[in-house]
Amino acid sequence: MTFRHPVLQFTARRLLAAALVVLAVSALTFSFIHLAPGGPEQTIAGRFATPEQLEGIRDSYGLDDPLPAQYADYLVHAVRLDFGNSISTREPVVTAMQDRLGVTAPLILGSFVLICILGTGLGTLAAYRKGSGLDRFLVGVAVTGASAPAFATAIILVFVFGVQLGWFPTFGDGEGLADRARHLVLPVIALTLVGVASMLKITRARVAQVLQEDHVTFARARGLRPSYIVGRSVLRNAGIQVVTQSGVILLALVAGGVLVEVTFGLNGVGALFIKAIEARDIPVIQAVSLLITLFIVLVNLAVDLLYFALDPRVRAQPAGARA
Amino acid sequence: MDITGGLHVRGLNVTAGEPPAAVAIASGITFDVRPGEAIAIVGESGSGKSLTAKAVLDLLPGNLRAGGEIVYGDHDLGQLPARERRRLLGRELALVMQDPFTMLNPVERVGAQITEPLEDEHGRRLDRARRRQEAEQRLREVGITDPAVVERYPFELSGGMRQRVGIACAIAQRPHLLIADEPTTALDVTTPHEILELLGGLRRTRDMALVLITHDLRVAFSVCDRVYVMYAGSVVEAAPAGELSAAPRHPYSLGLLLADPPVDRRVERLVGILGSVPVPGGRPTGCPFAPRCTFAQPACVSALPELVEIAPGHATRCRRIDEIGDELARRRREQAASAVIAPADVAPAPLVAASGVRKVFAARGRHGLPTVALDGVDVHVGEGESVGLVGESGSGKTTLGRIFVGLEHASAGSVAIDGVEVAGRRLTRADREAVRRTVQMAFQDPYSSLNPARTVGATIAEAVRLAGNDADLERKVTALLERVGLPAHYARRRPAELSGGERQRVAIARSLARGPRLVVCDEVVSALDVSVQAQILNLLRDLREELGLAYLFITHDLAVVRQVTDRVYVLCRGEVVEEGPTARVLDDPLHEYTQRLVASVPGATEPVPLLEDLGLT
Repeated sequence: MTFRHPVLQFTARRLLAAALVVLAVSALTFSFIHLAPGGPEQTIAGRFATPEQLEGIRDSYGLDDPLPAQYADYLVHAVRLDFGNSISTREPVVTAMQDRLGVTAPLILGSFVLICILGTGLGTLAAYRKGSGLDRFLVGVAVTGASAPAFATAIILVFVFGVQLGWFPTFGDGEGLADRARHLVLPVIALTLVGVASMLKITRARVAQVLQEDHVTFARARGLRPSYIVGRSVLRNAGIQVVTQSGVILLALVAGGVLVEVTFGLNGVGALFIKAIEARDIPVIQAVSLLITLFIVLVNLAVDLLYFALDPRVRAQPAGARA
Repeated sequence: MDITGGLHVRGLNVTAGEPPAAVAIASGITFDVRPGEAIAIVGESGSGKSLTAKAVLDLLPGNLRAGGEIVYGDHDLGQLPARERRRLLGRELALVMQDPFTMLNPVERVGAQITEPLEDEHGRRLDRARRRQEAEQRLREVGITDPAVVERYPFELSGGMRQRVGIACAIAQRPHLLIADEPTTALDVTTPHEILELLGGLRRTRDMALVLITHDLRVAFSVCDRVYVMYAGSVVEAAPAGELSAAPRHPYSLGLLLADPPVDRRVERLVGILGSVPVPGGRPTGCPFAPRCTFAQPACVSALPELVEIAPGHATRCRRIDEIGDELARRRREQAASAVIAPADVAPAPLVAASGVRKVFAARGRHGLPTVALDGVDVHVGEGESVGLVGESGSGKTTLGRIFVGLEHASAGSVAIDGVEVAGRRLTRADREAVRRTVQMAFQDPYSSLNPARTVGATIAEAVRLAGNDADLERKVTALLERVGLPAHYARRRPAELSGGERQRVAIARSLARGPRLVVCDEVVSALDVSVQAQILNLLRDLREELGLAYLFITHDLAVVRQVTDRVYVLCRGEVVEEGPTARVLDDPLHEYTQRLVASVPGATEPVPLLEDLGLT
């Protein structure tokens, strides 16, 4: 590979590293699952299976082959996006995941977009009005929101808006687009409340800092438009820390999402994952953990690439970026 | 708008906090700038000069309030709605700030920054091509002819270039008044001169009034018609530049003039001002300068004197001016005419010597190139000799100093410290001790070179203990403090309770704790105010006489070099380009680079005007 541009070079290197990380994590999950006692045949055959039946199942799933051979077999299929069938539902794993992503993706991404808009917006507002009543109120809300775990917020939301006021459904995914959206309102709010707090805090601190910097005073002294000062002078310079934080938040949403899915009875990827672990449903566990690994690696890469977009100083010296 | 009236500030106050606990930062500030005129506001740190400028532009930080009358043209700015006042910024009133490294938006290209506020005849943003064309033209106006700079980010430019870009930004909308707040203080030796020329030139070609805020009287005299001297939040004297230089009418102005070391000759003794500038909130009730003034009488302490006009265009806040005026003028004349002191012409035995020293810093990051900081440098310092090391930032002067004290190691060449070769081999413990007994270092920034958590006494005692002798610790600490002119009870204080000059004294005392024969002084006075700088330079001269110390004096300031060194090396990009006796090098520089350095000192070529020259006797 001969990429001349430092950013391309950096990206190529990071993609290679990402592939290695994904490979290592998949190998680790694979061996943990298979080394644990009590194989999946027990789940398939039920409690009263005879040793002969178990043996038959092990044989048909290839569970007695040497572990490296099993892993190689898994990899060959995985690159073709074939993760086999779920042991408990017999459904192809890929189909199951596609269905569940229809719930989880809007939940996570919807919350994330709301967090970014509300968090940076309110954080900037608080920094501009630092010390005012509005600032103190926003910080108070942020501290409360950040201190309450997502599932606790979720239970309060269910009680107030679902049970008492009856505005929104409190359980299940709903049918069709509009109904699905209605079912997602409370879960999205629950996740947003937690994330927005940390986004608001970091934005407020960083923007307040940048507002003190000489170049902002200089921009004011030149009579530049307030919209330019907020956008190009303040937010662009506050950007790196905010982007870093948004990456952290997005990944935290994956973990928080699992709890929220369970609390609201949503059939998302998180709920699927938990059921699969309970049932020792190996193909599903492997596929979901691979998906999560991929997501984490890609989010980190995206954050690093955003640094380049935001800050020419990082672009000039990519080796100095977070490796 | 009628701009023929210029800027008139009357009774401007800047206060911090809410009444009744409000602290005055500046009070009763009055000054005028006529259209096209250049005035200077001169003062040391803590005088309130920068905040006065920010108050005029309505750019005070949130916790500060301004009061008083600011009239620009036919507008009373204080009465103007905030929105309309903002509209004047950039269009009528502009500002250039001190630090070119922080003044520009780091993530925006130079061209975009310059052209951002520009509009066409219909008040719309310019199109891409026009913006590019305007940007190139604005850069040419400030002396940047390379059109590629438009595409550059600030971090890709040198300090001087950035300051030029800053000026281009400030004047992009053709303002009629430019306030330049210490525009040259953060720049390298050769660039301030160029920036001052640029500002002076722009003022003439644009018919733009200039308010220069500076701590340096020489800078003020070289550019400005009239000078206001500020001290502790008040204007203490206002006068035409020539008159102030020849016949100051306030003891503080005289003190500043006398404290400023001349670059063209070595004086027997610099005259510092005792004590230091009081902080806001800790200022005396009467004349703010009274506690440091040798002419003060009890009446001076009772009430703040008025600013009284004593001649056309010349006002002073000294109540005793009628009695002491002649004495002030006499002292000024005496200094201007003081004899040239030739340094001792001896060839002492060598104490430290570097020959063929090369220092390469490894590349930073994967794509960086290694930096050659020193390239074949020969420098030696004799026993009891004071040697200057002059150069701009990046010349390698600090690296060489650090090699002498063992903080860096030469990549090649030989470094002998009192006969011990320290380059290119592992030192034994005894060797290291010998080096440290011989050479010690004092650093530039007295605010960061002392541990803020430890008392002064503990800091010095630690250094004394390192010399390997624990006996009589307290007495030794006291002796060291007294040696640098501090009372013994300072041992119990922490750095935060000391002024900058006092901290630098402590740092010097610490460097003396092991009884070194050579002290490497790395820009030890450059962070200090002029009046304090003179005290420290005098102290260093005294110490040398009393202890027979040798100095390696690292500095960018030629006036300082003139006052304290016998010999000087001029360093440029890691190479010694000239060396010789200080007086010879400064009076008759041979190398083109040295000539440029000498020529760049503001006011170096103009002798102090005498009263007779001004027809004022």
